[in-house]
Amino acid sequence: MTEPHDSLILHFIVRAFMVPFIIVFGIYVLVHGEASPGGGFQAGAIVAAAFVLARLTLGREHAVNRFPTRVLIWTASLGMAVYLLAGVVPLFFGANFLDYSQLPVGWFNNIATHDETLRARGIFIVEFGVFLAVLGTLGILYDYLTERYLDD
Amino acid sequence: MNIVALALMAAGLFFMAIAVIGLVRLPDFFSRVHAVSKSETLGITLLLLGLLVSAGVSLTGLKLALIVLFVAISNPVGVHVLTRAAVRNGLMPWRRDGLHLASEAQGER
Repeated sequence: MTEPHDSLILHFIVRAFMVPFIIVFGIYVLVHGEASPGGGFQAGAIVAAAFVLARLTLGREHAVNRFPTRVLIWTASLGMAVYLLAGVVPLFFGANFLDYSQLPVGWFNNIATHDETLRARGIFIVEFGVFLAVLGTLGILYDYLTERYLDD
Repeated sequence: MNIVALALMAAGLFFMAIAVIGLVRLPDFFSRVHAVSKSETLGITLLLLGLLVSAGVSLTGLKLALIVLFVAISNPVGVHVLTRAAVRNGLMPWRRDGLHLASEAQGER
């Protein structure tokens, strides 16, 4: 069952069309979450759907070797760490837990052109952490439920 | 503009209704999947094109155009995969005289 699906049409459509566009759309949902429906959780679920689609159809070589379960576990843990740090770091700058306005990310404003408050940047950092955590967790769930790709 | 959008949406609804009738009335898997893939893809494409016309050139219109593209490509591919799996597993097309049941039992793997 770890072979790729043998339909050439499906293989081509998934590789050349579906997976790249789904990942781009997921990132759009992530970064556009303030202005339209979306956010970190939804973006993570969408990108994880692309990963699961690739794992269902493309087989070990094209889908799993690039993002093995090991990497997904690291991704989920990194996401947890990011949004935990976004909450804890303000404590060391004399603010409350999750008080984004005191995050030491002022240099962000030098590289970004939009005039946004530090608070919005903090929310985006938390969203990014949630994105990574959801993406990793859903991928791990798929891998463990199917038990296809666990032996590497 | 409004008339065109309404006409497109009405045509889309017509084709989707045909697809649903086919799904209920047709006798076996292959013909049902045939109804769903062709008629429903056309129906949902027309429906979304109607919405696209009424949305005009905007961000919403771009999103609708992308949805049209995605549905028009992924729906037939999904049906292709389903049908392929059915053929590989020895499902026979329906026949009026019931021979498909006999050949299915014979060719059982």
